[in-house]
Amino acid sequence: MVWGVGVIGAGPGASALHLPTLDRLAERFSVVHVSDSGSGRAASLASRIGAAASVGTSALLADPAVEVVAICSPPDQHAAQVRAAVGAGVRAILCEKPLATTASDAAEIVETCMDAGIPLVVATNHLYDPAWARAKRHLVSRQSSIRAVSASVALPPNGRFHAAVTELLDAGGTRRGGAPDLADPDVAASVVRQLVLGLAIHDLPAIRDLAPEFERVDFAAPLPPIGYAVGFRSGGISILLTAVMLPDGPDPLWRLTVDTDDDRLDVEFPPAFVHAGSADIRVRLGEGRTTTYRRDRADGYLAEWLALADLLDGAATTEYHELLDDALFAIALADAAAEAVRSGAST
Amino acid sequence: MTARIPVVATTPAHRVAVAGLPERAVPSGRAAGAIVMVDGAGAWWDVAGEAIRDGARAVLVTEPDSTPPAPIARLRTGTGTPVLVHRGRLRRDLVDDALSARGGTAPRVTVAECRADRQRQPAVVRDAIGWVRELVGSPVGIAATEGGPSSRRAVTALLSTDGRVTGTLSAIRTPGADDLLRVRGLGETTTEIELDGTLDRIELSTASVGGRLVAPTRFESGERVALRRALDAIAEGSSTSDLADLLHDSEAAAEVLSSRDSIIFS
Repeated sequence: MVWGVGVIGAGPGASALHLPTLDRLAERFSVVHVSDSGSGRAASLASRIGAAASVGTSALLADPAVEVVAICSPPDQHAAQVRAAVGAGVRAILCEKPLATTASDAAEIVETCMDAGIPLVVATNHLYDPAWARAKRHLVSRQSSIRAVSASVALPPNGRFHAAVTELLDAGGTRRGGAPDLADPDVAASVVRQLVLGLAIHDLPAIRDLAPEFERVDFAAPLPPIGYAVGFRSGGISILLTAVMLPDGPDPLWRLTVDTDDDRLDVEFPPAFVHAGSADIRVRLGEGRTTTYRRDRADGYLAEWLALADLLDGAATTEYHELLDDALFAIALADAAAEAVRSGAST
Repeated sequence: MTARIPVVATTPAHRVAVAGLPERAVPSGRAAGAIVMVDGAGAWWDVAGEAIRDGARAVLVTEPDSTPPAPIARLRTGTGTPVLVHRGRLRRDLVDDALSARGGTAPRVTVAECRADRQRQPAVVRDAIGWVRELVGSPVGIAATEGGPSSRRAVTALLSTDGRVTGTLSAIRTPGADDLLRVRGLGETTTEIELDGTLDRIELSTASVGGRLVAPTRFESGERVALRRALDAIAEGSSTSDLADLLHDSEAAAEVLSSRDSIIFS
């Protein structure tokens, strides 16, 4: 069966990510409606694929062809749009990360979806990357205590990766604004919070898999031009997040490193937007060997949509509590990191 | 042939290094007028001081283990005799390769990761900080460390330069023998150096928008590189900051590994 998808949002997250992904899953999904908030991009995107277009969410949610909603709007709109989609009686929802930006919103919309029995996937593509499951199996099989997890991220502008999968309607959508004043404690705190919920969120569900109980932030700082360094503890494990967004530079580095008593495991994720297969996994074993796991052709973007297909088919059930706990973990970390930055700067 | 400089070698690796420079160096048993190579194990600062008092032209300390601040400070200020330091994880030729490939640009952010057992950990963290210092081109401060009694197995820290946060460091203490250091300088040009003492592998790469360059393997022994550098220092009458750098890196490493107080920094 092919499910009709309504895409809320017409920025690069829709045009360069979810639309090209769904093109690869034409036997399961078809985009039937695209909406924007008034930019006019939805009409242009929709006209390419013969879909309907609208402004706002009402017409999309009222469209009988829309069975599945993909929420690709700015994070602060996700909660309201999930509520609206549930209210409209859609069959399933894929929401871009983060699910919500406050704990109360997250709890309410997960409960709403659960009560309505509506399948929900949060598009944390690194969690769905087939390589991550392999990495976890390795860690479990080795039975070696995890001591630290480090996520290192260095990202050049997205333009070259957009260009690898589509032709953007308006390159302005990928332009980064002027540098924020990180010397202002409130600005710095806000930047770090947004980056944790917008960038670090890629890895946080995977980190929560290994270190489930958030304890505290030990240090947090913004990094120029845009980035963060956050050290925290979760489940007794030291977690280090280091990220910087660059005006130019080499291919992205997105590496999750897990140190156990015996081994070091590096998971190198492919760049955002592109479909280059799964992450690379390299393991340095304590006994003096290294292992590289075979890459999977599927990537996290495809896998998250296929996970939604499984939910729609009844082949799997939504783990609502896991989704909520992932969201609460990220929000607690973002809030604590922001507070650490704000209070540190004020002293 | 120019006059060969006598070299006092005290370990087999030292003797091989001298033998590998037959045009410039000649083995000697007397410190006076010689380069004295000092094994960094044990109280090397006493041996170095004695060599200087005996009239050595230069002292080359290889692989210093302990780094007590007071004796090292005395060595720094006591005489005009050059004291060079060879650290295998921070070989000068490798550092020069890394800096040269960067073309003079400092990274935006550094990420240093260490794995070592209890015995090696201070030196591995020290050398990781040395790499960060070289990459950023300035002294490195410890802006914050992760606290708590459970941090004995894993310590994380926030690094700063000129009062500005510029990087992170993690140090894992392994129950079994291990010796791994990886430092990345992230930016428009990215450097990654991985020195795996356990697997005996070194890889240095530099990446930019134009691609990734892996530095050619350095086949020369570290001791020979260090001895050539000492010979050059004598020939040129130049001095080095090796001891000051060693002291800086050691003190920063000690701060990372000893601190258990949580500090929030922005």
